[in-house]
Amino acid sequence: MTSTQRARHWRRTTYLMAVTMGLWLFFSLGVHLLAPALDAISLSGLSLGFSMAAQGSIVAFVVMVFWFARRQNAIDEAHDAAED
Amino acid sequence: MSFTRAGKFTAKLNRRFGALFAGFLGFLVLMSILSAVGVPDAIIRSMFIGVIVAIYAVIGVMSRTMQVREYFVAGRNVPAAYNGMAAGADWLSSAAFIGMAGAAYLAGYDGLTFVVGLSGGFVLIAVLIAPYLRKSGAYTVSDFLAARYGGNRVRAASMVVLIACSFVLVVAQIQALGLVAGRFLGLDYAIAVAAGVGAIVVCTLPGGMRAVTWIQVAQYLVLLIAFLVPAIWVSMLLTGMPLPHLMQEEARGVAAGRTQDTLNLVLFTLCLMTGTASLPHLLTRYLATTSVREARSSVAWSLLFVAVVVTTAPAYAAFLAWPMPDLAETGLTRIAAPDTTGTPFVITALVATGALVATLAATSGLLFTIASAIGHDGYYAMLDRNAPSGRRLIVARVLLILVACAAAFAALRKPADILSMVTWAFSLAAAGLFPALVLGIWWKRANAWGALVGMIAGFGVCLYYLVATRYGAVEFFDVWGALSSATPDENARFAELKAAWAIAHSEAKDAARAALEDHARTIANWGGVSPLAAAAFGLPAGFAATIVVSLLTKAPAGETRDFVDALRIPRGEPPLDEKAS
Repeated sequence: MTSTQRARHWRRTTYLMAVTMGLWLFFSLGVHLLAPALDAISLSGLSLGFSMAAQGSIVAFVVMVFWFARRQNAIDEAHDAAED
Repeated sequence: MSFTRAGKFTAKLNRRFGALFAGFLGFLVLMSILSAVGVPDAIIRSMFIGVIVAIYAVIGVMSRTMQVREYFVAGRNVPAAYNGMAAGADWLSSAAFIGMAGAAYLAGYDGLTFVVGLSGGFVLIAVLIAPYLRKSGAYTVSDFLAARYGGNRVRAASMVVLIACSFVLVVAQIQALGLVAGRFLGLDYAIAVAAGVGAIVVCTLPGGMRAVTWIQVAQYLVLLIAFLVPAIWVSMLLTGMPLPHLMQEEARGVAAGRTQDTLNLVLFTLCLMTGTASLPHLLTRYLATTSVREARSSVAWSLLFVAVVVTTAPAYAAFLAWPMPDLAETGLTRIAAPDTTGTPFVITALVATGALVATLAATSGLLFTIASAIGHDGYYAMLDRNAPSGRRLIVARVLLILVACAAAFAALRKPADILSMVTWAFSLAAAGLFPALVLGIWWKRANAWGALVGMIAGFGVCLYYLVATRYGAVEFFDVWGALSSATPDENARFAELKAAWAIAHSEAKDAARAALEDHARTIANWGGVSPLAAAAFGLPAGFAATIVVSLLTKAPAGETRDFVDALRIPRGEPPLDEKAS
């Protein structure tokens, strides 16, 4: 692999990492900061802040990691970095 | 592994574990019938234990191996989803179930940090660490760090952190094991500990990581049934609907609201998450997958399997609405919960079995990680690189027995409450290892000196904050009082109590000292940060030290840069791969 190819691959990988980390920050720490505000919104009788912290964030994480795995794999394949 | 071979292997696994799953469900039905017909509880109980032990023993024997690669990383042929189940079983015990239903809802909103904290870490693992660790070809985390940074000092430092954290965790797990087995089987605590640890050692000795992996998969399936069935039962009982995840309102009624301020909630969650991403026994789990791509999806599967169980927490919280004795002491709500009249014994047996199985899963993973760190990194890598594989395996197995004994002895002394020990382990792992791991992969300029000083700084600061604020609170406050969050009143009280202690005599002096220490503990902190979130100081210290020292010392050699380049591309031979032996 040439060094330009490497550089391109790594740049895209880093970008994906940053996006995923941003989402992660929001769902892990952001919800704590926003929870009191979210509490005010009710979702069919359940205060949102509580539900989010308990389950919404986990669901978000699960979806996030599966999505990340697929995206990263696509990047690897596009740059000839994927395993056979 | 060729595609069709992998496919056939997975199909075989599906058949076998599918049969196990169906078998356990059938067993449950049988037990319910027997119980309803009047068979005594004691017999039902023994049958549950008998089944668990049988599963273990059979898998343990089937996994026996004389191959190094199979002993240390399960031959690297575990399919992603199965690997995920194994990780899930292991993880669900690390305070997840102990803390969750208990701390989570008893303490109200704050306990939810456990839930987010324990699951969020998986994102970090998948994105920042696991794929690169897998590509490296390392057998242990210390192996990886030694290869990345070069030299045995880094290896040794990381081993210290690894062993310290894992040991604290395993002692906590064994304590939980003893309590659960003791309570459920009516055994003396010491006997329960000995029996539990003994069973684990016997079953994992022949097969190492290979045995641990497949036993953990079986445990996950049992766990899943053990936690979902009672939750669904409660859910139906209280809401008429078989979806425990929707029991929010019932759970909410129990939640007492926040007791921690936002700062501590955020920091504590951060500690749990970075700790998750640094705990070696979890990270090494992903070394057993078939490829880098599979390692990534395996993390996703782990999280999914953890989430399925963790999100049933609301149902267990609703359990708390019923009157129940001695909940808070042991924190083992999941055991105490069904002990109410009207709960079918099978349900109680099931929950206890789930708890037992979870602690067994975690304990086996942890014991193995510690033993293999000493055996692989200590003996093979540092002492005798030419050791033949036969000897390596013997050393590894002897160490497993020794470590198990040490851990059991420690657990018998009940050093501290389980929850505290678990959070210490997380914080120390995060502070000690996270900077070195992340910077090692993402920053080529990080070098050996940086990593070494970083690990010492991070671990040291974290350890200091944990220990000093608890066991040396008075002295801590004397030195750091200015940074504390103490109000003027609290400050004044401290001065008062201190003066009182100075002038007291004999017994009154001890009492005065105790009062002084108790008060000091509530105000001994830096900026109001709870000691539970000690990594909040350890992490920045670790990162800063690693970065600064790396920049001040020589840049890494070309080989290291090549190594990092190789890490970042899934394709190609792992730099550290051993010829299969």
